[in-house]
Amino acid sequence: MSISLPVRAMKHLFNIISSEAFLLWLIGLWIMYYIVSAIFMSEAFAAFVHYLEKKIVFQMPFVLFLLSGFLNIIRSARRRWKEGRVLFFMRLIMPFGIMVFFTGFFISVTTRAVTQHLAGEGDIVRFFEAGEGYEITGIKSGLKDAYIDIDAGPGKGVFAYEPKLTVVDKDSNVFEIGAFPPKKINGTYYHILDFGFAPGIVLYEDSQLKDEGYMPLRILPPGRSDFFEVQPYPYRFLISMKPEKVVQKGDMTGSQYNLKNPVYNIRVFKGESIVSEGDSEADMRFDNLTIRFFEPAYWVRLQIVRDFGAPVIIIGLFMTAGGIPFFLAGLFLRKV
Amino acid sequence: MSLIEVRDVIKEYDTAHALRGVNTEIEKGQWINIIGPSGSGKSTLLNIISGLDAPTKGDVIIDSVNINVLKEDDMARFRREKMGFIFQQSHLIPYLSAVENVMLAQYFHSMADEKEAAEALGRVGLSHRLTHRPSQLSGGEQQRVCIARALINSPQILLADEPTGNLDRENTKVILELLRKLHAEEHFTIVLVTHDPFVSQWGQRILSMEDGRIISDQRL
Amino acid sequence: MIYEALIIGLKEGFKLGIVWLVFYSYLALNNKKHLLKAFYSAIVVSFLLSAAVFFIQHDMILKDAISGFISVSLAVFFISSAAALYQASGVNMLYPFQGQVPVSDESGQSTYPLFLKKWAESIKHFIVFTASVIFFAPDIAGSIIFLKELSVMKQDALMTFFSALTGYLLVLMLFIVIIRYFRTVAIGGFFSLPQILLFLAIVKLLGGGIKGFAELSLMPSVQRGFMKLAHDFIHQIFVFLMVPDHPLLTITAWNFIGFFFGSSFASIASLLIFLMLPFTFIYYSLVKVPGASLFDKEGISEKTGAQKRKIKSMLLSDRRKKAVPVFLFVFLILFSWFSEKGGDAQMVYNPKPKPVVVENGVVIIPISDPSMNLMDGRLHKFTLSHDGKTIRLLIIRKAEDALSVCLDACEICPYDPEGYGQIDIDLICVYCNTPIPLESVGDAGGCNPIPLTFSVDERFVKIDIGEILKKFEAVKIIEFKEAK
Repeated sequence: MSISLPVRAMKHLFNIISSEAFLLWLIGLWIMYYIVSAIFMSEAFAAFVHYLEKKIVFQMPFVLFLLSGFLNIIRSARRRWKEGRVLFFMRLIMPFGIMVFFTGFFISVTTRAVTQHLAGEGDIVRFFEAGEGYEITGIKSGLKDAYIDIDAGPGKGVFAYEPKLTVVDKDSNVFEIGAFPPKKINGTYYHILDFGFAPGIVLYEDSQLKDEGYMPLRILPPGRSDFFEVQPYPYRFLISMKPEKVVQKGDMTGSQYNLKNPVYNIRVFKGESIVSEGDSEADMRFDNLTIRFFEPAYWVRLQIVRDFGAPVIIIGLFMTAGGIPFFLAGLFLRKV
Repeated sequence: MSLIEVRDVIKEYDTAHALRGVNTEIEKGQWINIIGPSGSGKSTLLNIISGLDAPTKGDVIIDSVNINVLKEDDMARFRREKMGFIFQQSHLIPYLSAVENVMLAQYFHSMADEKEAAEALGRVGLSHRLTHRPSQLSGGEQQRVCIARALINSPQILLADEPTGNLDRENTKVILELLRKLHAEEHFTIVLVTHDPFVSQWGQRILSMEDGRIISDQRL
Repeated sequence: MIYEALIIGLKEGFKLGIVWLVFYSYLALNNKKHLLKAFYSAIVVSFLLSAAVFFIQHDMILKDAISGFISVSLAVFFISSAAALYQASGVNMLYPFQGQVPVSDESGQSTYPLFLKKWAESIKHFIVFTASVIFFAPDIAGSIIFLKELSVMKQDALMTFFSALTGYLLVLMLFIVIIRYFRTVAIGGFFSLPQILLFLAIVKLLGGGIKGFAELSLMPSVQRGFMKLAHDFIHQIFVFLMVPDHPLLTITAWNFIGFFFGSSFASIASLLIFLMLPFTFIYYSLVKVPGASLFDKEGISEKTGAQKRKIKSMLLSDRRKKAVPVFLFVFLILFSWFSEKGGDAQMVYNPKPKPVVVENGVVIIPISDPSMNLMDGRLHKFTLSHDGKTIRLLIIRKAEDALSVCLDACEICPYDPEGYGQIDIDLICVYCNTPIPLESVGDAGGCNPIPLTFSVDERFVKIDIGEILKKFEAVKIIEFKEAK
């Protein structure tokens, strides 16, 4: 019985795609692409992810890679099935996990949607314009009361636990959102991406109240400095946390900061020159202005993500990591 | 065409002549028995054919190669690939099992292959004795292991020096039957030295020696 | 005799010589010596191509392109050796291109697509020729550019090139003697196609640095590339998993994340990726007993057990012999991996400051010497001690032929011990991670490095010590962590 030409061609194509050689060629070509792009372009991997998101020229080979990978696993699994059932499952987990991971990778890259909000207490956040809104009712900083700047290298160890924020939807359902792992609400992930102080500030001009409010600043971890301006005044305020206590021991210096109600170092510039310098324990006067600091509020950068690939990636990672010992054991238990 | 040619071979020891000019040809696939009383030079001739001993004069040509001009290494390789040996003593390694003894011969030839070695022991009727040590085997069984070992590398020539010397008549018969069967299947050449007239009747040709000379060459 | 040039000559000559030796022995052993013609003509063509570089008014773009090509050719040889290895271990790599050939090729012999069969010899010549040009041309061109720069600096072009040529010919003569008078054919027994390609890659890796003897090997850039990939990949996974980048988590969580993000993880991971090729090879050549298909090629299916075993053992011992150079390469890679200082995972290039001295109130820094070139677009740092102060300077090429000279400090961040690093072309404040676009380097204020007034002629950058001290006072005044 003769098989018609299109069927034969399809069969041949299928044979090619499911062959080990084809998979190796795809991987080799990607490596070559990556090396060349890394040599002549900075951020080659980011560029690749970007192209994978946007360009069909990159998506098509990737889909072929996924297809070929799965077909290869099935093909070799059929062979292994004959060698024994236990071995079959042992050797299958890791390669299958890797392919699941890359499938999730692809789904994530091509379908992920992200919005970010810089928000404080009382603000309403939503996933794109159409989404349901949530009102932020509280921010728990999770900061330690005091932080000593020697123990963990820059930026680490500031937090006793993660910052948390409580939101409430229009039906008064309350959710608590942390930094990691993200909170899943209605199929969308919410998590805190960044967090910081917003010192309270009062500005007087000739003893007359001119401005009052919270100024979101990036001065965490302690030692970092940020600046702000108050329109329409021509001043720039450079601000950082001031240590409560400094301990010197040999070459080591430990600075202790109060993170609950910090004291700030402030330097006021007008153009390039400094007009005033000091800390926030007392009011600061310069020209005809007075500035006073009070207890800070917190701000968060909240990220909202819709990503169907994320669970696939996690499953893939767990299968890969968990499958490695089985895979290695399978290699040695194999009948030669 | 003859496989082995022995031309004017003389072997002298310090005091005595072991071989005094031996000429003969052995054809491919032939089973030849060399008989004679002790001291007649039959074992010396076998050793010279196998290259274990060198003649004082004369040539031994095997498969168109003059083995007397081969260097030691080449001779060893030649022997490894073309010849198999059976002796009166089994010379099996006592602490290795039957199959391991056969595998050792494979290893010295090229590489060990347990499956093939087991099959070879099966052919000599020892598939139930694969993992037994030589001490756990009877004399006849030991000699059968030796045959499997001698034939494992598919030699062209099997050289046997009194292979049944230690065995009773019954076991002797078993061994000779086995050799006959294998010889019919695999067509190798057998050169067998014996003083036992019963054994000498099993081959295709009998070479009688006395005092370092061939005195008769008889085809059966 | 100009020393630096001599060393370049020796290095390049050695590269050619050792490749020639291996290739020659391999071809001689396998009766393929006619392919040497293609090799020799490729050498000649490589020289002619590279000679063009000598006459082109070269600039940074050309130089970058050539160093890029050197890395690309390294990659070409690594990847093709991987492909050849898979081919040798029984995977028919040409299968996807072979039209309607059935999976198990019954003739079992040729791996050429059928229509190419009659061109096989010409194709072999072409491949040897092209591969040799790809291997040699970028390296020779790179060396010529380096020599040209060296000759400008030494102001003796004739002597520079003469020295290089002397080194080159000396080594080559040595190799001619070796090939002519020693039994080198035996070397060929350790090689077949995958080993040769891997060997070429290793030669390039360990001797392909284009900054002359100041950078002998390409290992640091390969390391940086690998670590960057490992780091970017992990970062991408973290993005997918929505792990925050900022220090929001408790120290326990950070210790776990930090392990994956840290440069040691990236270094080990990238080393594993890098060594996977030779290890795969060792697995296939030593551990894995070859499948029946490999033996069937030798036509042994009808032979007796003993003959089969003999051919098998010969094949296996051949494979083991050919694994020897691979073991050697693994050792070489490991050795150079740990002996070279790689870039860290953040890809922040932060060179160690070179000490400079003050002479007659002026700091003088040469624009180019064999170990560095201020015009190469990278960040250069210098340090000087004056009145008990240690002052760091940075110099970077800002635009075509324009340098920018600054203190390695800004008006805001603490001075010690950070300063600036370089990510790609832009600077970044190591302390606060503020990126400083290259265009704005030299502008005063804010997070920018404090610019210095300087003068520059064809060969030197000159900075008045008074200017440095004046600006450095500014650093001190605004220095923030007085408490520390």
